[in-house]
Amino acid sequence: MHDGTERKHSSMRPGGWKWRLFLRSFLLQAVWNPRGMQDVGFFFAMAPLARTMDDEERREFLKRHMGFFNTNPVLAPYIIGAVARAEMEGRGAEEAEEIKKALGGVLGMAGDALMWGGLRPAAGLIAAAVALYGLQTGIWGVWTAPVVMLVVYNVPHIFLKARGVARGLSVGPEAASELLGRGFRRAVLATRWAGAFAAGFVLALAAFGTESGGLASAVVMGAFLVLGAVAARLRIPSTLVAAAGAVGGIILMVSGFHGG
Amino acid sequence: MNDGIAILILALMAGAVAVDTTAALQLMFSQPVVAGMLAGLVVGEAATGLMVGLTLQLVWAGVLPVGGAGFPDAGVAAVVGAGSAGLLASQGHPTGWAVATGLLVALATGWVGRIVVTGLRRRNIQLADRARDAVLAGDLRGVQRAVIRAIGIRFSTSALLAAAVIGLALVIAARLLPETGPETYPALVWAAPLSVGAAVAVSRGWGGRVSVAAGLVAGAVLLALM
Repeated sequence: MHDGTERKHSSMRPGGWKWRLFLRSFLLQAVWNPRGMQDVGFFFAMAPLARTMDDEERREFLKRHMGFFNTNPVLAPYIIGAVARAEMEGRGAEEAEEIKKALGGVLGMAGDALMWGGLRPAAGLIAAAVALYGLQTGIWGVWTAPVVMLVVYNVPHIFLKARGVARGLSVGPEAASELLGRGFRRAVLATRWAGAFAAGFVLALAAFGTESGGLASAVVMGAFLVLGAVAARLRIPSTLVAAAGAVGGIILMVSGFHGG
Repeated sequence: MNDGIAILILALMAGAVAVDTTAALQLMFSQPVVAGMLAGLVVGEAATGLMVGLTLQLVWAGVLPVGGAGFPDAGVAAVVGAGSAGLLASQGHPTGWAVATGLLVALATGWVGRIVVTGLRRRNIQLADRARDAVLAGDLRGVQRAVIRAIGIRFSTSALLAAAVIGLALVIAARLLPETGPETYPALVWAAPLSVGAAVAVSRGWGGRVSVAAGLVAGAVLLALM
């Protein structure tokens, strides 16, 4: 298997593999399920490597790559690239499972912290600040906030995915160590603080930039500030808290309070 | 634009943002501030759609879709909420009532969507089994079929949900909403503090609190300079 697989795979340009693995990584969670999680998506990403195999090789390949797998989808290409490299060099049987287990958890936690806990809320809150300022002042169009959201999130998102495949193919599992240096922790903190700054900015615009109800506005805002913090800490579904807020808003509106 | 055509376009849009949420791409077209504005644009009420999307963005700012945890279907909810609000406003209902209705409908859709997504993900186990059997039988395309089917089911389920909820919202609103009323709804008075609370809880520690305070001061200074 080693010689044959290596020979067949080497017939494709390295850039071709990078491109295929990169594109397929965007479908990693298409068949997400509670049993194997990203199992089908991971196999789908690796599937082009199996095309040149005979039945027996394909069975072994399937066993290696369609078992339980879960990690952060944005950093998953680091694993996809590293595993593809091991497979291309004929070391898949020995190393693939080990790479997936070793990096899946680590990159899952790191990626969730950076992307879901940091960058995504930050991008959303920055876009919200832009939207609110735009609605209040009319100085820019309604397109601005959505464009800000898409750019702030997707530039790092696509960069990390592309770099993950490229570095994984080039240096294998060490690519993850390169990523998770001291700079990574700083990046997580920076995105979280950026999100918190944008949230404070939105609060200022909402509190002082609209035709507000003075004391009533301050009391309602203070109550919801506490509620928001408590709900997030206690993991109370924000939808429930927001539904209460929406009904409260209707009561305020009917009673003649139109601030915000 | 005819309401039926508008609902059809909004349903297709809801299907597309549902797929973007987790199944494919994840380019964040499913974020409420994006999906809401686009839905508003479809019904000729882009600013109303942006207002609804902005509010929902703040409401769900602290939601972390980590691992197998359920999460509100925010993208579909934004399309439904902004679309309903925009259609009601374009029909001549007071904007305050249109936005309030859109937000309540969106929150309900987000909650229903969470249940739908959980159900679809359980159903994906069958697709995974079929894909595995196909590959073992030498049919590698079985994996592609599973991926396409899962995306198709997510798209169509969300599109149908969106069409049903928007249609229902319009029928109910036509009977219940008053003909006159305020043109503004105080969404930000409750949504903005909610987002700050969530941001502080997520960022934890003094760094997050100082950042919120800095943002608050920066916003106030900017407004003072205007």
